[in-house]
Amino acid sequence: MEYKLSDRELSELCLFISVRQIREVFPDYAPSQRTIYRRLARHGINTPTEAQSNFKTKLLLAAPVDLDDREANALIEDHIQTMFEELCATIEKSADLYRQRHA
Amino acid sequence: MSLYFWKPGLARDSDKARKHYRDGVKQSLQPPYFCALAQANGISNKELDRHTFEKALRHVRENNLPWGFGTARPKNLAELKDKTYRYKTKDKTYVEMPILDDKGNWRKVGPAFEEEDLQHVVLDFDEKHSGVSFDSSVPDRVQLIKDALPALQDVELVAFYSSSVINETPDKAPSLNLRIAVFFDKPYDRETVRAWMKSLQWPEIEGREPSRFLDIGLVEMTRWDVIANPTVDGRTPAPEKKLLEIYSQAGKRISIDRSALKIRGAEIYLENAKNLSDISEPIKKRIEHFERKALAGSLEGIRGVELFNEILREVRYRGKENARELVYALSGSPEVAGDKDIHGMLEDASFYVYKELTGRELGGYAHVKKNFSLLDCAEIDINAINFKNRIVCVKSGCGTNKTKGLTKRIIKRLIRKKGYKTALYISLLKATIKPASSDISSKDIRFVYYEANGSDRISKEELMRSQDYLATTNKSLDCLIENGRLKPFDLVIIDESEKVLMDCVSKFGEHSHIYALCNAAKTVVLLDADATDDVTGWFAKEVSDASTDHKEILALINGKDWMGHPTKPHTVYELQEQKDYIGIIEKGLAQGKRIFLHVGFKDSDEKKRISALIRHFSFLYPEKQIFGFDSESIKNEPELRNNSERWIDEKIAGDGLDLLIHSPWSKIGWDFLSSKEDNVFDFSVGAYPNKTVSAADIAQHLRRMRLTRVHYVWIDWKTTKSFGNKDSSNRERSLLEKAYRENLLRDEWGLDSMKAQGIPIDHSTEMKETVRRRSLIEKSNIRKAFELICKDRGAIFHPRYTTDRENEGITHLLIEYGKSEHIKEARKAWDDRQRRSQVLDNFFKWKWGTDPIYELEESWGKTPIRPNEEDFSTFLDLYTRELRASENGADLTTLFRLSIAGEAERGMLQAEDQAQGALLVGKILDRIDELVGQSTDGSIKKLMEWRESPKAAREFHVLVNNEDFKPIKELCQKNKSRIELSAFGRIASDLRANTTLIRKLCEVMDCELEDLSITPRERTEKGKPQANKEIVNHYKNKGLIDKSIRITAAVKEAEALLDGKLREGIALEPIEINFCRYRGHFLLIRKPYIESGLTMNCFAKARNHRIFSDSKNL
Repeated sequence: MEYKLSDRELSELCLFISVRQIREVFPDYAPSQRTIYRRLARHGINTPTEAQSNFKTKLLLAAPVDLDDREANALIEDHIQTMFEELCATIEKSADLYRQRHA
Repeated sequence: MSLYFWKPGLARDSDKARKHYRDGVKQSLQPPYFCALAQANGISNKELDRHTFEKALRHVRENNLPWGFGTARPKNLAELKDKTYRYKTKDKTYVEMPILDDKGNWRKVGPAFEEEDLQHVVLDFDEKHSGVSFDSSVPDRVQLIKDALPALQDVELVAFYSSSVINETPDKAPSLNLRIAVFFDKPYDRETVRAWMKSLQWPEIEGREPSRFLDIGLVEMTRWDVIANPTVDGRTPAPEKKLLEIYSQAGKRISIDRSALKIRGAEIYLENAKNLSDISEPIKKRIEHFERKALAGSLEGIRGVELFNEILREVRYRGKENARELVYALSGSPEVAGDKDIHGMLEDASFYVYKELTGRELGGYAHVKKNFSLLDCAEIDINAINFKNRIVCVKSGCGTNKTKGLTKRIIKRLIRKKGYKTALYISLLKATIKPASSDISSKDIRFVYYEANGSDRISKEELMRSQDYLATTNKSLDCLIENGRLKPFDLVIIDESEKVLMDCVSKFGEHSHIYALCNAAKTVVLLDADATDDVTGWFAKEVSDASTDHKEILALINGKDWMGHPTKPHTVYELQEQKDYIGIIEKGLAQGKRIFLHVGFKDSDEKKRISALIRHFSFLYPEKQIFGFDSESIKNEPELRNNSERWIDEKIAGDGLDLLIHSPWSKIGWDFLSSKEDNVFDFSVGAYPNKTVSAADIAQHLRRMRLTRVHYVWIDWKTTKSFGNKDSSNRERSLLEKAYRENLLRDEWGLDSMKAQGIPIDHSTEMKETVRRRSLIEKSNIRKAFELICKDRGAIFHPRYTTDRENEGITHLLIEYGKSEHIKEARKAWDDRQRRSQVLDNFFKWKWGTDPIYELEESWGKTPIRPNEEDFSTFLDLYTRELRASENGADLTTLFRLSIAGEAERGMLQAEDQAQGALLVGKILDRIDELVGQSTDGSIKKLMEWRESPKAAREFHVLVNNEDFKPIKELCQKNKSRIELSAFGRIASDLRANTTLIRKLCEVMDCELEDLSITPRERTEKGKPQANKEIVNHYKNKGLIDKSIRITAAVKEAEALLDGKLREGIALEPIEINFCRYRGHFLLIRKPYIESGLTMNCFAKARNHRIFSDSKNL
């Protein structure tokens, strides 16, 4: 049995990449696009793109005041990339653990 | 007096007042002819009406008198003695001739008459008309004229035969032979009446020039209306029965709007320009403004640009004819005009606006351009055109058979003969695609509708990826992506290309799909009735440039349109007011006409406008069959949507169909063309109260009923609600200016400058920008753009048509604007007790007295306002103030909280997500407080606290210069995207003028701000050196400055003294205030009288909130 992405992981992933990209990045763990949309909607995320832009806006507003917009955006992009990579690593780790459990 | 009876003075001349017929042929009189006129009588303007006119006419004809009707008073013989006039001889030279000859006869020339204003005019209709027969009576002929000339509907008139009618025989095609006298509400000068007569537009009939139908000669001073019975074969017959047939119609008098007319000769305008009383108040103000600028020297070097921009705005906003007033007023002021050609600027501006509104003509980018004039595209010989490896742009009007007649043949040819394997058809609406997919299909080439297997994404993807011939919307193109690649097609057809390309930018990635598909295709076909080089042409060029095989652009442009049909042209009446569209429908329904009403609103909002219209007409005409559909309700009638012919034919055959109302759902991709001859809509009516529908779309919508050739359209230019005392026209003006400014900004900061700097721009950004600009321009003046489109397509366009319908009984159907709408809204809020308390809760009253709870010493205390304490007028004021504060988008309570909060608290507010961008907004507020603190004695630490403190001074001065504003501006500009999202979003939206930010903040705070800075005009009258001298002398006299100090050092000392005074809050003397006005922005900030006024309550709320949040944290 293969590891499947949890609702929480999906909700977090959709903040960084599009639903189609989730399928592309985790072809083995991700359910079909239709299922992803359905599961996200269960948690109130009806339009993942909107959630993504809201997330970015929130980060932008929380950026330090001494940075100007351009610097803040660069910082945010950096952060997002790191967070995304960390999330991917966590997912891979969970999948490994899962595989070990079910080996 | 404007009606004179001219009669020959001598009996021998009596024949000179009659027409002569010999053997049925009219004999011409050779001008100039002599005629000694007796001193004429007439009817005074006061007494002149249809009754007196008819009486005079009957008198002449019944008594066989040799009289004519003139419009000017012949001068006395004594006055004319020794007077001459210029006579043009046969060899085209001029000679001076005496007006009187030696026998006392005089010539009928201009100087022989005295000019007078006209109270009436006689219209002369002599041309042949197919609708007239030998038996046509005067009322029949009048009706023919009224049908063609709506301006004569329901006006007071007297109609009578001209004397030529006696020559009519049953076997000869008769002319109209009619004269109609119309009356004005007041006397108008001859030039105005002539211009009014010219403005009456007559449809072209049987290929003849419209102007020939109406002879405007009778308005001339020297012309007389020969009403006397004619002579036939040299004898004067007894009065003919036919000549005594006179038709008189009661009605309103004609009022001429001079500003709407094209009046001949610049001199008249120049005269008006000199006469300031004729120039409207707003124009006068603008001229004064320019004069001030000119005197201050600020027009030097930029005069041409400034004046051109002003004229351009006027043309854009009010149209060319109305802009003349400004142009002549400008040229009448030599200080402003300088050596510039103001009239030339008007022409240039008009041409620019015309080009801009209608879009650049298609074909500018084309390698091959073919023009044709066909009403059916099926007649194009496509075998003679090479389509392979080309981008084909087709511009051809509605109903010219673009889809079946051209597209289908192109597809067949390319697939059968050129070996193309796949084809993709893209359009905007599902409703269009379904029927179109079958229209373009043939036996072996079957186009598949993209939702044929279901509308869910998976079924769509599966179907779309597997089909060779596919019809889809632009929204579903991403379903064609498989493994990250778009499926290519040999032939791509984009129907309604202009709209598809403009719609593409709304969804991320969509434009790049279309771009990629077109790049990969061997042939691309772009079809649109309104294709322009701005969008379609530009897109074709981009694709052509990017394609590796260098596709050529072929433009096929059809010059013909059904609207400009040679024998059956369309007539478009632009309705003047909103009530008129209801008036014209009522009139039509009463006459049993079948009408199509297309509107720019839907039925789903709370006002249910379409339902309300149906109720109104059903109430007036209960027997009429009225139906209305918007995009929602049409779902219940799929038959009408998919097969309009069957649905409408069935309705007409059943109970009938008198009025059909459609919202914009049917503007494209839907039409009605019945095979039954009688099933035609008599006319269409359009009502567009907002800017959601573009002019091109309106022009499309009125063509939905294919055989309807008469259209009435009302388009409103007032598009946004305004409130308070703002003048609606100013409001509109500012909106236009905003659009205009954005265009300019684009040039300054946008793509052009990026390109110039060599910054790479991707295709999608450029397309987005192009489309944004196009849609902005399209919406800048819909009325004018609509007029230009109609005229361009050959329709006969009648501007400013009106009906006699009053607002009575239909006010609930009309969309109100401006003040009335605002009062209505306020009344609604007043009636709603909850909303009333909500508004009143935002304000409180200051009251002097002892605190009842703590029994402290007497002081100002805040008292809440009870709902029943104030009357409506006070409530209206408070409501307006609250609205004005919220219009700037700031949540006042949040601003107050941020202002009084410290850094840590602001951080907390931001973290708790209670105030977006709290830290940033707090920082701006701090900087503003610093700015205010510079000018005050330190008692005002926080602007917001001053506003709420009853002890603080009611007003204070702030003296700041541009340098002081710099840090605030920089902060806002650097953090633009964050500020836009914050509570300061709209306050800091416009930073061009330094004081705007503070002004808006004051509006939010319910304070007044007065800018006392020196005006350019004042500066020209008294310069800075003079002001310096004044203040220095003043202080020297007072002994505050040493008399021996030189002026430069003395000014510095004076400035220091003043700064000190301002800081300490000492009241300034007038001379000191005057000096401060020269030093920078000198602002006066004042709060409302606390004794009588009501003030906003936010501060208390903010404090309470802090206490609560503090206690929560504890």
